Amino acid sequence: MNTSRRQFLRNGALFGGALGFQPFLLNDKLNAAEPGDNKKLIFIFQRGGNDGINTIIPRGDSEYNTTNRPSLYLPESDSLDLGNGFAQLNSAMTPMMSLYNSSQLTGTAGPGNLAVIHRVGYANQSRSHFDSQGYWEKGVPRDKSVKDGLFYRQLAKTRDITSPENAFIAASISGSQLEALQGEHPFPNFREADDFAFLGDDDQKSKFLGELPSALKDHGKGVRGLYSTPSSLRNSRYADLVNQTGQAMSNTLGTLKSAVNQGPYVPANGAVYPDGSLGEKLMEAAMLMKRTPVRVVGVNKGGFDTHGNQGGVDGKHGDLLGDIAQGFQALYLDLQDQWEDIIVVTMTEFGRTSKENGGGGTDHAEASTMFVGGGGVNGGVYNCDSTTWSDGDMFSKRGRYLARVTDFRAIFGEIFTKHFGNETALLDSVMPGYREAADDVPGDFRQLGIL
Amino acid sequence: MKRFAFSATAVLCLGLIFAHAQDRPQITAISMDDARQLVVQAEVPAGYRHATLQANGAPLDQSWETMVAGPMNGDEAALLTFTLPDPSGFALIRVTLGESTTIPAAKYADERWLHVEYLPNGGSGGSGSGGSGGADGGGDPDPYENPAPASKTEKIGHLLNRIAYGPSKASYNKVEELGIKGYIEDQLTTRPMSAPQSTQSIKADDYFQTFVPGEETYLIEEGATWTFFKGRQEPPSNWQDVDFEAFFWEKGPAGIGYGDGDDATVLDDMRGNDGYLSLYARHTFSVENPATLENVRLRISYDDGFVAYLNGQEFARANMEGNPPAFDDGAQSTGGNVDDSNPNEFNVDDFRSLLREGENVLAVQVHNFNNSSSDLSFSPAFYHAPSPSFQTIRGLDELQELVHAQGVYSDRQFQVVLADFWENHFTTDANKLEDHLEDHEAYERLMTSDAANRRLYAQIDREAAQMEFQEYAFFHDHALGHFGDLLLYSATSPAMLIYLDNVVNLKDSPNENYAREILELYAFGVDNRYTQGDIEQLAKCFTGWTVRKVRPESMKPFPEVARNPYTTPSLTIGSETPMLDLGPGWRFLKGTQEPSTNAAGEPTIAWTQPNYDDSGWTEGASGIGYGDGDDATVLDDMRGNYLSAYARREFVLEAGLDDELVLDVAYDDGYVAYLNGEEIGRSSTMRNYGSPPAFNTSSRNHQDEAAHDTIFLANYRDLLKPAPEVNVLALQVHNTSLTSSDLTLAPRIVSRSYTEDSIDETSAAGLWSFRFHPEQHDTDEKLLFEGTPHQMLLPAGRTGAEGVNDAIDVIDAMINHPSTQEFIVIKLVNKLVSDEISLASYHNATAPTELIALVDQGIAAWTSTARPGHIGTIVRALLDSTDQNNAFWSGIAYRSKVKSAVEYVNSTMRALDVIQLNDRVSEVNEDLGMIIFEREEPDGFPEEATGWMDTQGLLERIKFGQALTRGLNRSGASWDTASFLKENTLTSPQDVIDHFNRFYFQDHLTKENQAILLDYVNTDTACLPSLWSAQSAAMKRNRLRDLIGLILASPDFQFQ
Repeated sequence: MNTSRRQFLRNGALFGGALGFQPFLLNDKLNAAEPGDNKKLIFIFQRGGNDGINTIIPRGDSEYNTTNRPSLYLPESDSLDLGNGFAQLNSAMTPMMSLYNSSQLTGTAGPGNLAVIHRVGYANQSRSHFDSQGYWEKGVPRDKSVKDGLFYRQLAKTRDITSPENAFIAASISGSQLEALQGEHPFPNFREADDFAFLGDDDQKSKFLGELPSALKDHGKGVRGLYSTPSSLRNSRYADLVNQTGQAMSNTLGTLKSAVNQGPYVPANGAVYPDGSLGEKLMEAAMLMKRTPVRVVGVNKGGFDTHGNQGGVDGKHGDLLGDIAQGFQALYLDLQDQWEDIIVVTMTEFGRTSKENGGGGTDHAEASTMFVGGGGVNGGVYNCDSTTWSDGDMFSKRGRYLARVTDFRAIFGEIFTKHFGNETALLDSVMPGYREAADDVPGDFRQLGIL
Repeated sequence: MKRFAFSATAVLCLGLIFAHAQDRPQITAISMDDARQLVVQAEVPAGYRHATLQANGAPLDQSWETMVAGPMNGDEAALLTFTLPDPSGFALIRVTLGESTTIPAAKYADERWLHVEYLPNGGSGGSGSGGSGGADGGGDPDPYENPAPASKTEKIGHLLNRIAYGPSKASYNKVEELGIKGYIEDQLTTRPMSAPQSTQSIKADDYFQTFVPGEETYLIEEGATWTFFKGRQEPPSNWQDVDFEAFFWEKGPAGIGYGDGDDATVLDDMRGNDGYLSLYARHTFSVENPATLENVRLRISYDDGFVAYLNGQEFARANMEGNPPAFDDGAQSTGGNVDDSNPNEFNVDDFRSLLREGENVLAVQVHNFNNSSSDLSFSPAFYHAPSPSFQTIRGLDELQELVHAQGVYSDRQFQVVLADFWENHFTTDANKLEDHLEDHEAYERLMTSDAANRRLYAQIDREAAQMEFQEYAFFHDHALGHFGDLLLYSATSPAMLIYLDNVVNLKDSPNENYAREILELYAFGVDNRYTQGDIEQLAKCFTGWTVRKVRPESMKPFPEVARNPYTTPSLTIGSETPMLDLGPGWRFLKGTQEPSTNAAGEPTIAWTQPNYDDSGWTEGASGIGYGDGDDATVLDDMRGNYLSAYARREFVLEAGLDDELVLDVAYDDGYVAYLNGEEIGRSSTMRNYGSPPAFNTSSRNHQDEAAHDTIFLANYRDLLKPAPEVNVLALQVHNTSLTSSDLTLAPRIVSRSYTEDSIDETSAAGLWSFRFHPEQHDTDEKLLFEGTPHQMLLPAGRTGAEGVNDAIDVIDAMINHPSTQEFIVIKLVNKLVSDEISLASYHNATAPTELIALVDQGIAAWTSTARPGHIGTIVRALLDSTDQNNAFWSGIAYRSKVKSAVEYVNSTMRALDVIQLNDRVSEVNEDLGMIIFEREEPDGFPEEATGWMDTQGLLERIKFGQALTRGLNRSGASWDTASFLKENTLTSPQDVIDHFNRFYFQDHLTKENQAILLDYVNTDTACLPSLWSAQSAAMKRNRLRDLIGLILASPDFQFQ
């Protein structure tokens, strides 16, 4: 950033550097910069640290019992068999079986399009929510100097994200931008497409924004113009960020208006999104996938920090998992027209203690679970079977925690190379430190073959 | 040439693609000439040998087509003019530059289509430097180099942006009067929350309600029958007098109204042109001895306005004008009090003298805003209640409004800014408090009907808001006091104890949540000289910490409440008298089959009914069970054979029905209890197992020893029959498995009395407070920060109340720990000076040196006082009021921070000098993404710009400014353009721009942006020229209003 900023100042250019006049995106749908590249990804961040042990139950581990989990233990009647004689899924996640066992739509039974992955984490695990969320979202554990997000870098390294066609290549459906999509050149975030507008009637709005036609000279007018001229805030390192955010907001107003103008969104194939905010966000994500050039969409799901009163299938944790599962199922049905191009993936900052605490809950721990769904996914259970999981592994770390066997970056490495088609050599720049870490702990970076 | 006309088929977009990221072409003009050729002008820097104009289709396909291409000499900057003879069918064009002399193939490739005009001296780009910057003078200037605030305006603006919520007229004048140093010193003094406010814009009545505990005695009950008269004409003038005889008036129970589905008497003819605007209602009641009545109160839900009379004399009104209002007068505004679950209370004690012995009349006229109003409500109650009373916050919305009112109006701005800072640092989430209370057994027990639930939810919301308010009030009053007090207060605050689960931190299974966060977020900073082992040790120190309810009058003040805490629970049993003790008189049935079934063979509860014939059951004494040696009736064949047992007991209740009767059940592993044929409770281990659970049901959770449940029979008073009638208590008990080692069922009914300082946990007449529960405290030794200079050994054997000192010793020592000192000083620097330093960049010295030096000064100030960590001393050092030449007064600080949402809202309201806040401020916070008191994550809202600058956040800020300038209530405040302009003597667009530029941007607004602002007022909604000066007065005002909205939307106003 410093370079372009210095350059800008040296040139004294009216519209130099990253502050350049952003064009107006009036068309309904712009194509991606890379021809033929239609691969997409939706990520769901489970905030708070999901209890992986009650998500994918290691039934075959005798430590999974009522002594360690007096109120949280789920009997077989509260879980779904995953077919390998070891792992079971929390039955609150029953809708996931549409993907896992996809005969309903594809006519074939089997592990379908859902990878169910246990024991994912990273070396030297942080048990701080905020640090660990940051490490996941930045794709670089234990290095706080990294400022931009994992998916931001993936996009920035594979296409020109300053190009106007790519202004809407990624978005989060969130009141604030998710770290995984944060970077020097801001991507849009918003809560609801049809509420993303200024006050006033259409004429007033477009005048306030400084839209066509008279704005086609110099820097434009109105709000767009104010954010397109060189900033007076020359001493703040946030001058560019603020101006570019204003430009991104101006562009997003147009893109979302076009998307919304296509009419009320009706999910395809009878997809039913879960009640509540996650369902609303995922339905919005599907709508964007169909009506805009977006390739990466992120959403949050909070509430996984279950220190107290975690509950079983019908309790707090079961409700959270149920929403995730129904969300996956709805996306699966709704996006059948592009399912081969889609990946839906969950992330969470850490798992929770294998032993229940005094409040009917669990505390911060280490490895947890990930779900990866999508047309190109090799469905099945990973890292939770009798050959790789020894009895007592629930306490394999310090006698308190479930230890990881796979680094989360290995999962994303597979997604970036096999789904998005990155060169392997690019992984180290998308996830700085990848190669060194993979050399240090090769086992953690073993490719699972989910794609 | 004429302006390019855009048609639906030729939507034009511009793209700029460049060979070098830093050297970009600038498209400066696009037009269409008379021959309908597209003419595009672009300025390009030196260094390029060719240029192209490329186009993309409509709709866009994947490829860019090169339409025009031509050579340049590469030595000079140039002005290019492209002409595209056939522009139809394109949606997007862009200009690209290249360094090769090879010209790309193009459809139009000769010089007719690309004209190059070389510009001497690097072109005109240099004219773009901002209004404040001036020439760079060559070289490679440090991009962050900016003058420190130098002029008086700059210094005042900077100071008020940081230690206040931005400049207001009053505070600007105050700084001018006192000088910078004088103002800072003035702001380092504090005023408690309870003191009278500096301004009447902060109206205590709007935020607090006097809560009256104790029994309310109703003079007129809610839902009483009223006589009423529809206001199609004026009623007789004496309609509100006692002796008025309302023969022809209608009658009906309250609430009276229409439209919101909650009225007992519906006025379906009120709305519309043939309807009426008002309603006159009377209710007579008698009083025996008016002199003895205390605390007389009118509680009323009304929508939209009302006037109330007691025996003919007005004594309360809301939202109405006129004396009296005429029948066809409308209420002043819509709204009134529409939330029936939270009616307004009017203290009318001053009007007690109007009450007379014998018959009295309460008369009320209720008015709608207009005939088309969607609803009208009227639901009163009139009552009195004995003292004492205490004040609580009305609710979370009011609390947020109060915090903003302080932020906007308080003349102790720095105290308020820091109060909000500490509140956010020690953040708690009211939603979690509400969830906790809703799940709390004592409340759940009372949730037996919709009406009860509504009342309890309203109470729970109030209690959660009150816990938040108690915290906020402390942080406010001690904002410039000792950090050690804030830390200990927060640790023992009921809101924090509940929020981070210390209330469920038990001896045998510690909960690490709070122990982790006090280190990571509230004192040391993440991973700053502590380990996971320290978290586990500290969690043990906190075992036994919990909450209880206390009577307001006996509430212990801080710090006594922390250092000498309550150890007993809210309700402490004083004595118990058995009403139905263990022993003979029971009949038992082994659970080898269902005791009673229906025709389909499904289990029924017929066996729990009083008239059930249990003569076939075995007689015996309680308790029953096996395996643990304490059973009067031993089921020695149960193990391996059956899972459940059934028991019945007839009894005559010798106690009064009003006594505090409880059923105490000792059980292992699960039970269901029935009284006279109705279920009154079951163990959590039997939840969701049907009603009744089948005889072969396994209980959840094997237990090693019996658990105790308490069922309060007061909740089942209508089931209990007084002596000499006979009652039946019936229970079924279940094991987890056939092989279980034991089973226990031992039920007793006892009558209880409680100690004097007891209060029912669900009482609305109490406040939540810290409690230390010695029996749940781990009394083993704890070792923290092992091997460091700050190692702490907490000895084993701190039993009883002394156990609280384990954690308090650690908290007290934290102010001496370098981690706390660094972390808190850095956070204060982030708040007040710059966010360009963090714990990491302080430690590895990559932060700017002046900020590192500033943090060191802050730490020196921290340790300079006899008791370390005095905030006033620390911030005085950070602000350097005497010399004014440290980092606070440098370019690194000045106009460098992006405002948080609350900072944006408060600074906007202060800039506009808003008249009055309303309770929709909480919605503004929600829109802007900063719902104070409701953040789920314990890290608080960020201080860094990156946490606030995103597209949704920016849009919401701009919309808020639009709403406020348009005078919309949704902005959370009221404001009027005309009076603002008048008070500030602003008459022209340039006046308005100059005013904001001077006071809010210290004359730094760029010429370009000033031109954009002026352009806005001189164009119409089609963006065509339309001079402001030629408009009507109203239109002029509207354009100035929108101009102010646009100024608030500017990038400059995002900064502080």
